[in-house]
Amino acid sequence: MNRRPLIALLAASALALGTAACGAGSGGDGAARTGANELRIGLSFGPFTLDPAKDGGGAPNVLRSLTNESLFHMNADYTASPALVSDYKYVGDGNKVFEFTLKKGIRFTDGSPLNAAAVKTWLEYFAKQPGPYVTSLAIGSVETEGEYTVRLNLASPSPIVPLLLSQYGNRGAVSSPKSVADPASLATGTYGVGPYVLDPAQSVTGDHYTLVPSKHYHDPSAVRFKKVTVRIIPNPSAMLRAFQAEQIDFGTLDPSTAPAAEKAGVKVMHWRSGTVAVTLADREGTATKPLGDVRVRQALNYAVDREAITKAMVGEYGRPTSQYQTEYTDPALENRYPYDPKKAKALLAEAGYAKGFSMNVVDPGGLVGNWGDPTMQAVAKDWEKIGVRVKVTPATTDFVQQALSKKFAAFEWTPDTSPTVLAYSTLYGPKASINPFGASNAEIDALYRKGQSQQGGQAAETFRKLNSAVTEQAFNVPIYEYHIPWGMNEHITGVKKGSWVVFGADLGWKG
Amino acid sequence: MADTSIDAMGAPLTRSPRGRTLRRRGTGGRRITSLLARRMVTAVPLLLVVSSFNFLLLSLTPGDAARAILGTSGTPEQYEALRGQLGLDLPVYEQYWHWLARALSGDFGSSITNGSPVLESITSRVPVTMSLIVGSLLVSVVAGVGLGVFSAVRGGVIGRAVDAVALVGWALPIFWVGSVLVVVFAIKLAWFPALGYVPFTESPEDWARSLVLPVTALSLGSVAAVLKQTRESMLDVLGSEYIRMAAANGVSRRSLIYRHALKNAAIPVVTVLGVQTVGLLGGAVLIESVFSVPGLGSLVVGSALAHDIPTVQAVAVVFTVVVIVVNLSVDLAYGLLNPRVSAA
Repeated sequence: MNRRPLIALLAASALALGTAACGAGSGGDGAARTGANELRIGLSFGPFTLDPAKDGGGAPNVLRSLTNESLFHMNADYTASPALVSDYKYVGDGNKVFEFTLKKGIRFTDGSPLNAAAVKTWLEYFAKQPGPYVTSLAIGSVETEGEYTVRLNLASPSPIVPLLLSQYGNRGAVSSPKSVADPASLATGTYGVGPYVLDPAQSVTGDHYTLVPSKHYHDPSAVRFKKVTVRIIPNPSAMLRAFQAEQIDFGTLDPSTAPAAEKAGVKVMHWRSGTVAVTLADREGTATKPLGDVRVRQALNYAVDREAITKAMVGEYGRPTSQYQTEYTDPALENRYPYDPKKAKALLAEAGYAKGFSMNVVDPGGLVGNWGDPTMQAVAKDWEKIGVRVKVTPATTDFVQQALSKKFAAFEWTPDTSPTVLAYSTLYGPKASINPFGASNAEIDALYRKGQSQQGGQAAETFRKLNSAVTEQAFNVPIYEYHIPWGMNEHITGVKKGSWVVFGADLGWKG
Repeated sequence: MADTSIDAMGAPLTRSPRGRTLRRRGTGGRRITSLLARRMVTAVPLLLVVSSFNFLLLSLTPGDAARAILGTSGTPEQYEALRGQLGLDLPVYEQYWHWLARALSGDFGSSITNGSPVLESITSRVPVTMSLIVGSLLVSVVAGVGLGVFSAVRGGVIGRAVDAVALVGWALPIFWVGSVLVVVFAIKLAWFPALGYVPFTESPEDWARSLVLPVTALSLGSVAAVLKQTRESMLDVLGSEYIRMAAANGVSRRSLIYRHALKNAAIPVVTVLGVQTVGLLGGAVLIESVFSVPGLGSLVVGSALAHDIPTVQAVAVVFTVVVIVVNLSVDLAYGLLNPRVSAA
């Protein structure tokens, strides 16, 4: 074989790369800023699937809310306002029947009309999918009344139906009947009512998603950008570098990278996103007897130096708290358990455990970024000082399985701020999803049942009492409230502090 | 004359660095066909072993796809129902058998987590990873061989300096190099993008620009390895008696270096290139993460975390096929470099 052509090919290829490099260099615009017509978003993690019925929440909500406007809109103060809905009401007492009427003249991105039948199809589909939010609302049946009115008959009462039909929990992200009939298309495309629609030709699942304006959006004046790209950047350093190179306009940072981003001129905003807490799962002392005594659980709370741990772990992007964060908390209980090792020891002695005891705890390891395991290790050191010996096991992708395995008396995790109703069904109810020992508390169960059937201020009051009881009973050892820092360039306007998570459509991006 | 001299002096290799006995045989397409046929035959059990082992390892990793989908919600009944729906409640061998039966008919299934057809995911990402690997190989060959020859021929301080720089390049962690390149060339100088990949079909120039930094970071180690091997082999060959004889016979220095010495030094270099190519597959996983590039590496990492068995399996098969092809190419290259030498 004549090698000359091969050598020539290699040389030409090297030259081509070199020329391209020089071309880039001469322009000096390798990381060219985008015009105002394009918005570039960076998210630390993307959707598992584009099917809202099967996906989780958090960062992907930014993407989803640009393609799927919800029936209701969750506001910064955790209330919900109608969005695609013109009227709504609970029918009768007890929060068992909920009725709403849709706005007219609205179309999905595939052009089909939004009407009661489409919403019924969507809600029935949602209820049958194995999604993380499927249990948040138990709908017995869906009825349509006329072309635009939908009536939900609930299998169990819920005071927060509007919230559960908002962006929170994806149920409100109604998708077209055509897509529901073909779930494979729903998993890889967007078929909601939204200002933008996914362009599959310019997207790679799990890496980047390109959105283009929807032809059918009901308010064209709100479509500010000709193109939106959402890039998934799990590596926090890569995200920081993307900001520094001005390759993204808006995105998630973390406490370790946010200060550097600010130094680079990026505007950073942050607000309450969730709690880092140790949940004392064996709170009836089934396997670890001392935890059955409220004095022991309170002692574990008093023993933690929250100020020091918070400062070390998240700095200004969080604050110490004694309360598990939900929408209804009592400000007076924020510092219910100040750092007081002496009091902690006294409580342990009073409960009959002057010499302390041992227990096993699991934490989510690196799954929740770089704070999960170090926080738990710091807490374990504080507990050692009062004689409680803790063996910490960092989990990997099996965190929930481990937490449910009954091998651990407690688990550390970082739940998002969520409605009290969902906190109850996740943690406190006897059949809650992460209640491995099936623990229950009559007072808390009663408050939950009462709140379920109440509305407005009454429900808020009841749920506040429920959360106060949880804090007094010390079911958790909350450490700090964490904030997700969001970075944005000067073009991004309208971001309001206070939302649980940020939703794309909230950001003034509509213009 | 040179070729016969080489043979007359005894071919520099009687045994390949890969440990296989090299035999002299007649040339011709028959040998290549037979080599291809033998490799095809061994590829089948190899693919079976790799895919079954991979399946087993996946089944042993903590957690499962059902839990990844449900997160912290869902009752135990819902969890069990989903496991059943996904077929995760079946014994591992049965799950593997189902996968294999489908895979043999060309159906690699759909992602458990996002429902995308696995073949579609793979085909959209193969060009990205191949761009990285082929680009890195080109750089390794051009820079590694060029600098290796230069270092061997020039010797002295410059030669040792090149050698030392190569060693440093080899020792530096790939993700660190990637980060430094981004800080200097993307953030400070703004010559190249800090992350992302532009398809060739969209813009060939932007495609090349998006590849420069990741390819540079990825190829650094293999440039060093190729450089070292080229230098050593060249020094060996240049010091051999037949080169001295050829020089005494009046063969020009240029011809001596490029026509005679380099050709004989090439076989171990090709071997190193083969090994490096396989190593580049692993390196690509890291580089794709540092530069947020949508290749097979980032696909397999994300899928493994989500316990997405069909996707991980398919990527494992692709990687195995690449390794098989690379090894075959190395053996074919031996034959091309010295038609009288072929792998047994």
